[in-house]
Amino acid sequence: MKRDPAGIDEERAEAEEEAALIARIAAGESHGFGLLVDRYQRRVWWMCLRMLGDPDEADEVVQEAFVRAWERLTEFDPAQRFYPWVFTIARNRCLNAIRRRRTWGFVSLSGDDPPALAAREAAGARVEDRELGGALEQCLETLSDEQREVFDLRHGEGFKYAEIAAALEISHGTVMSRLHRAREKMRECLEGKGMTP
Amino acid sequence: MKRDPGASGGDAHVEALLDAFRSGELEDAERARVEEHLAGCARCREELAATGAWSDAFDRAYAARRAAAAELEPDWAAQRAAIVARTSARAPGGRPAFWRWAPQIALAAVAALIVGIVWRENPREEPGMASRASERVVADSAVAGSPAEPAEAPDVPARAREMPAAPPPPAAREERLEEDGADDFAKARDEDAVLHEAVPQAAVGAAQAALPPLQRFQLEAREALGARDTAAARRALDLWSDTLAPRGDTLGQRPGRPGQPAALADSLRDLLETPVRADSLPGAAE
Repeated sequence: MKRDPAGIDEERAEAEEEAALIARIAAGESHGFGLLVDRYQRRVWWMCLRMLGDPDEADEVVQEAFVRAWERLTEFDPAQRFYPWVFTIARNRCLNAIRRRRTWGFVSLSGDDPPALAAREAAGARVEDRELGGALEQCLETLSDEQREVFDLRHGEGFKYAEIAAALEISHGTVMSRLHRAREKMRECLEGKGMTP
Repeated sequence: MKRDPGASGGDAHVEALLDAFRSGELEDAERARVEEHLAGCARCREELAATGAWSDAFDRAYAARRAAAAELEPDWAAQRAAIVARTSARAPGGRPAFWRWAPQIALAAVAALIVGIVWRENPREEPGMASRASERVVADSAVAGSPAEPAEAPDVPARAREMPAAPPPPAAREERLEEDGADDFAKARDEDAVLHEAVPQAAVGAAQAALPPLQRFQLEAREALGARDTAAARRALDLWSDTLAPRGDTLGQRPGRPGQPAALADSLRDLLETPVRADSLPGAAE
């Protein structure tokens, strides 16, 4: 997440470049869509993996989300960033997949259960990363679903406040208060585990 | 340090705003208020530094999780190729073929519905030879498996020539069964007798087989009860037991007439066990 003034300028330039790219795609330069896929598929996939816990299912949702974004590209507001938009599409599809699971039961496409995924993550990490990642995982459990969602978007996805508000369809003030409480709880939890920033 | 939200009020601390302040996401007025407050509040200046440090730690923790699970990532080039393959066949904003044709399909469906309604309603409004002749021509063509020849029936209305696949007499009869007096068994039986006279039995059977299960059951049940045909009653009862009873006997019911299909099924069972009297049939009392 870029926070210094230079970073903010850089983000603004990226946004303008992206808006121009999307305008060209909408005008017929369809090969440009591959650039957007290259740029964002990894982030979308990780978000889906966090929600679904199944890599193969995340693959499926990412493809569906980008295809849907393509189908609706003429409706895209160039004043917005592309990623929060495609993120919202993918998130809705993940939520649908989770609802289907509740109805029909969880069947992992990759043969892994979500707990197995967490174990694989931990096993592959370096010691200090494993500690940090493990503590993060445990402390995230102390958050409510609503707090965790905004916290994930802010620190896992690098979303701006306005982007979180748009993605979750809540007010800017609600984002600010939820995120503030989530950060407080995370700090207290991590400090309780002996972690320092 | 106790951290109070402090997002409102001139003297309140501004901790809840510090993360957005750092990332330059505050409105001008809010930013000015935070700057003014920070200038006179050591506690909040300290908190601003801590907010930055923890934000970086949170970001690092997420990055660590991603790095640790990198082996789970798919082949991005293949993923991209799959997406591009699915989108390159049409322009952005384009829908799949079905949606492109959806408006035309919907219009065609509405037009077919209107034609169907008019076609079903009019035969009863046009008594006389023309209507009856059209039914006979259509039914004959259904039996022969060939389209009706307009030249052989010059007085047949155009709609009857256009729709030879749906023999109207059984459909019209079934519609009458479903409307007011549907449970008026004697009336339906009389009408059946008239229609049977006009329509070959094979055409009736074929059309009957194409009816929805509930309508077919009602029709077959009434025929079986009317003729006291135990074999037909057994067939109708099988249809009831296999298809309709498991669905809870809810289709086609109307307010004030609950369980009419179930009553028919009971009558069929009675017929199989004891001879049934015409005045005991469902609906005979109404």
